[in-house]
Amino acid sequence: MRAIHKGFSDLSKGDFACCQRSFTEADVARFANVIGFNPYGFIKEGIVPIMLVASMISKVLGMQLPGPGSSVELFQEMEFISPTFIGDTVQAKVEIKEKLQKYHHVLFKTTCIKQDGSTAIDGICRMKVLVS
Amino acid sequence: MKEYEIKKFDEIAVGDSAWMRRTITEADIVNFAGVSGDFNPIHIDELFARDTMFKGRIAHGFFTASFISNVIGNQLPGPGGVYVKQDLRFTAPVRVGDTIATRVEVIDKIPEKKRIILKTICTNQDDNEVLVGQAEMLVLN
Repeated sequence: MRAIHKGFSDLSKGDFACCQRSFTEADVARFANVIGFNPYGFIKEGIVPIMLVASMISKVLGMQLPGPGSSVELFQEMEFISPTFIGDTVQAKVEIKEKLQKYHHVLFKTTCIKQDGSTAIDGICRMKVLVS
Repeated sequence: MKEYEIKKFDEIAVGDSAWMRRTITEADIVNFAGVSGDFNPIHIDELFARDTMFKGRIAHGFFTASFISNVIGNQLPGPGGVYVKQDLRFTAPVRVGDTIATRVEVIDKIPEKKRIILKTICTNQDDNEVLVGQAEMLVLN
């Protein structure tokens, strides 16, 4: 299989992609095992580690928009607005805000919104697209 | 059972630092793909990855970023701190076999907002930076 490249010219301002996920206690325990920390505090308070929630953003960027193979994540800025609790369903959304022709950089608005409409993570991401 | 020690805002000083180090394995990448749902072929498909600028599989950026939250959450400021902000600049790829050192250092304190600002840096075995950034924590104690 060859890499499917989505080029800079295939991307437009306003393009967006989303993914959705509900978090379970098992997710938290598993994430703790993979990263290497004690999940006791998180499980006791029912909180989902923020990096597990944030990983949804790079999942959407990497698998959907711009998708695999053609781009590199350069910079990500995240503000953690409110905690995500075990049982919450989160939607991660990435939306193209700006295209910088000169460097083939694309600026995304990246958000994670919970089922009640409140924001878990608000941020931006800058990617470099390697293919024209 | 003894609960975790919670650091107070006044106990934290500019210049305080903490770190961890870990070698990245094949299993780490597969496990992180499973737990995050991020099965981007750049991480899990060698033939696909070989065809990209990276010339082979790389670890998830958020796997490395999780080391930062690990050091912050467990050591500095540790339990009781509220993660408010994190900037990440991905400066080089991380591959299986790389040994990543993650270091966080307090670079500023904002007493009126009970915030501490930390510089967060991940470097590989060649001392090259792979992930640099800044974190902001709220320490209410």
